[in-house]
Amino acid sequence: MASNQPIIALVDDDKIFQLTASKTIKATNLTEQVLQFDNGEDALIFLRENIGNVNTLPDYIFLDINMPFVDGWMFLEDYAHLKNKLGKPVTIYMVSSSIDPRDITRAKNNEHVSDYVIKPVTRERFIELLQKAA
Amino acid sequence: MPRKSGQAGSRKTPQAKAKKTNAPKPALKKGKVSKTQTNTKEREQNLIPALAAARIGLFEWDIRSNEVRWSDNVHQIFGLTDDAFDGTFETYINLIHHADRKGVTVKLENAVSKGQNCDLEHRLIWLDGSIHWIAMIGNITLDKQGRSARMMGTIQDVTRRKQVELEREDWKTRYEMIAASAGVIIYDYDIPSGNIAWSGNIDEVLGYKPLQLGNIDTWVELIHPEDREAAFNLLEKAQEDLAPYDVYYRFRKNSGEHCYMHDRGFFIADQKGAAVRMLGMMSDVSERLSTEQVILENSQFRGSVESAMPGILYVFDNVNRKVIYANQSSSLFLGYKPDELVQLGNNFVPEIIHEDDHRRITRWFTEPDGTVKENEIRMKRKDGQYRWFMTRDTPFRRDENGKVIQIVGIAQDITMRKEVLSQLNTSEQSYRELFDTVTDAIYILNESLELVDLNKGACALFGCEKKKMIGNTLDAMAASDSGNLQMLKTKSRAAFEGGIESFELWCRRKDGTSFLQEFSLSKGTYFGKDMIIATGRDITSRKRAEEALRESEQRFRTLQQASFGGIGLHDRGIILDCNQGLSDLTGYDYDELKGMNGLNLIAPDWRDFVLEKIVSGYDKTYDAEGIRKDGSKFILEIHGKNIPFEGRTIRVTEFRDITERKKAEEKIVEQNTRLTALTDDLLRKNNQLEEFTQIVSHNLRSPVGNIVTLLNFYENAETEIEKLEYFNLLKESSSTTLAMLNDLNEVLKIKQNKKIEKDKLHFETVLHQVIKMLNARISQLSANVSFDFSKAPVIQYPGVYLESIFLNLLDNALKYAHPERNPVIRFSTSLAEGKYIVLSVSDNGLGLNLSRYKHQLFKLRKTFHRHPESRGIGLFMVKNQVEAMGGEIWVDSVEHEGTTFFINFNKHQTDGF
Repeated sequence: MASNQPIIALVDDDKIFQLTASKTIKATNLTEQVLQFDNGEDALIFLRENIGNVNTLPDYIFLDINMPFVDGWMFLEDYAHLKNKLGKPVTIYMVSSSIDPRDITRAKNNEHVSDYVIKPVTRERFIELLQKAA
Repeated sequence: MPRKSGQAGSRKTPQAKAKKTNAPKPALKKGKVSKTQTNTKEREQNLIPALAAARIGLFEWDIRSNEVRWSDNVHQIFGLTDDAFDGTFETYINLIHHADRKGVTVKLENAVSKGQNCDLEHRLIWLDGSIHWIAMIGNITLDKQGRSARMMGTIQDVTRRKQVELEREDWKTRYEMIAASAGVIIYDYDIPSGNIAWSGNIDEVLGYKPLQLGNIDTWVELIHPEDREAAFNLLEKAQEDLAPYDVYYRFRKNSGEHCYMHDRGFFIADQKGAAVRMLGMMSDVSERLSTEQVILENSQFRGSVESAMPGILYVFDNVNRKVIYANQSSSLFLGYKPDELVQLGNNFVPEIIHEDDHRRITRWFTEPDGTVKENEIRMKRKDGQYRWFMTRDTPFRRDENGKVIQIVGIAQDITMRKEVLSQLNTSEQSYRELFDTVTDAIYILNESLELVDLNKGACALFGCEKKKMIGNTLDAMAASDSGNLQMLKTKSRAAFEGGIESFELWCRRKDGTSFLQEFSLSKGTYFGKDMIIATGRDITSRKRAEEALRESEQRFRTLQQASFGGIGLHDRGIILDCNQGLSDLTGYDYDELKGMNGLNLIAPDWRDFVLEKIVSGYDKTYDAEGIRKDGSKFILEIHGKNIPFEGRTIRVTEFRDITERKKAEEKIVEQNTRLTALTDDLLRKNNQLEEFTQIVSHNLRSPVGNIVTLLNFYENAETEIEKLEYFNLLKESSSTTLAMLNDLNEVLKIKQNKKIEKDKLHFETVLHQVIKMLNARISQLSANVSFDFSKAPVIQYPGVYLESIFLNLLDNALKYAHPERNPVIRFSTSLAEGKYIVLSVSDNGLGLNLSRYKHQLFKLRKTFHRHPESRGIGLFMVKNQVEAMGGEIWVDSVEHEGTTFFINFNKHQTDGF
């Protein structure tokens, strides 16, 4: 595992999106390290468990809004408490199929969210997102 | 009663009885022949003439034989002829006066039985009816056995003596009575012994018992010390001269006070000429003395009055013009003695009377008696000083023609009065100044309403000279001469009777202009005469102002009559005036309203509220409930305002019946409520719409997006295996999308299907059906499902929905049961606010963190538990069904303890449930 490759976390209940997004990211050749979480709760558990571990903590989190159990918003609320304790800075992209302007505005106004990304996400878009932050 | 103490008493005892005599017994003569007479015959013969002369008879009574023998003159004494007496004792007894008979019998029997002598007096009645007094003395002779054998004695006619004696007794009695009634005390002073005998009334008059004053020394002590010596001197002189005395002195009564004693009497001398007795009478003359004193004082008073009389009494000769008589006062008032005045003769007038007053001397003709003429003249005193006199003369003597030639009169010095009068004139002057200074007009009117006087103010008012006005009558000053006179007469009469009368009168000035004058009449005195004092004031301008005020009031009235509302003027609630509008509004007529307390127009419950507004002077509009005369109530808008009115602050209040407006308002409120409900409904619908948008954007866009992505992947797949994999994923996405579309279709159906048929459903029945459907799971979990629909057992609701609600909620409760305990699920209904049917479904399951998940609880495809069967559709469907029927669903839950869902079925029901 190359240390210069960013670690990507995909938080989404949509299995198909997980698959396609994961393949697309890997196809960019920017990284091979893609973590997949079905919901926000699983992602939070991972973050807490690896709170100081620079090698395992994700550099990018692609966060879906609409998830069962703990959705994107709830994840962000909990993340606010974790953020400063994390071993490294994390860039969070809100990823949703919703084109509802209220969702977009709300996401952009959240200090932890770097951008709002509308599904489907193309390979070019992923490269752009991953290069921008890097 | 003859009681005179010592010597008086000693005189009394012997006087009553006949003297006992030891004289030889007179010869007895028996009616019938006596055996014993022979022995004494001789002696009898000698005695008889003597006895006869002395009118003494002899008797002998043989007690045993009861025979009585009399000497001859006894018959005479008894007024009987010699033969008339039968010689028996019984006959003798019968001759005795019946009143004395018993006493005589007793005495005789007593003498006989005791063998004692007896001595008695009795009366006889002669045959001619005359009464004679007999004195009898009898001596008893005893026999050998010591028994009374005989009684012998004398009988004497004592009638004359007895009469004198009785007469004397009578006189004594009379004298005592007179003395007593006159308050005179009789005394008898025995000079040698110093003893005094007093009449019985001494006690009554002086308060002493006769014995207390039994000695001359006591008497002396009781004489007032100041009078003692004088009294003694007088008495001693009288005693020396043996002359009667008459002396006054003060004498102390037993009560301690002194009385004036008038003592009169005389002395009785013995043979040698020395006074031995002093007989007299004393009488208390205090009262008489004081009367005399009063008379004396009165006469002194008369004298002093006469001398103090402020005038000279005189008789004047009109013909000769001279004084005939004057009393002593002349000295005092004129310095001339009466005779000096008389001596002046016809010089009196020129000498004494002031020459200026000569012509004023009263002349007399034939005036009737009793005529009094008064005059005021100056007379010169002896010291040369003139004094003013008032004379009052009346006829005294007339000549043969009846002409008054002499007058009697009294002249009083009135100089002082004259001076006072002149002072009065001075004060009158100042009164006049005051009279004129007053700016108000003052008129003095006599009874005929003629102007007697008026002040400058009055002249100024009329613009006329005083002279020209005096004598005019009040009504002549009036601007118009119609109808005033009667009123003025009435007013002035009332004023004369003591009232104060006011009125207004239009008057005319000299220049012809008229003005309104306010008069006030009252009775007063003007130079001693009763007059009407009238004050006047020009009130034209005031009246004009009042007229203007009245006009403005009139305008105000017209205005308020024209007003739509009710307007009332009130003073602290009492309605002074109001318009027709108020009558129309309240049902009371104008007269009823006037004087009524305005609060009576307000419904009782509102009165305190309104009163508070009145009291505080609140001047903005407010609403209250009014009450009409018929008791019906209406909504009032009240607008009150304090305004000054006739010098007071009163309140103008406008009433408006706003019942209609109020109804409209209520309608608006109602419509507003409805509108709000509608808005709420729309908002909810909008929310649902947004939700739908979200569903579309989230739940529909993502599978479609996946399909697009997968198709891309499929096209770029390098291997068939890869292609197959993508193809399968495409199929999955398609079916997910289809399922999603089906779900959405369900929801849309719910949303669109508002007119779904409602049935009368029993909660219990529906629940039983649902339990049957889930029976396997219930048994598997050993779940306890109970219910209580007693509070609201039935509902009008679409059967499919209720079944769906029950199924989803029960399914949910079973699905999220706590792994460590058997599910206990309870269904119940209740009525909220009496009209909303509220269902609650509680479980003891996992519960959930509401602060975290509440916002997405009823959303599509939301699950809150890592549960394999969580599909996120159930509660979304329930929520849509409930809301479609105008209900509401909410949840209450504690994590790890349990969850309760509530459904208010008809919370927002607007279409009549």
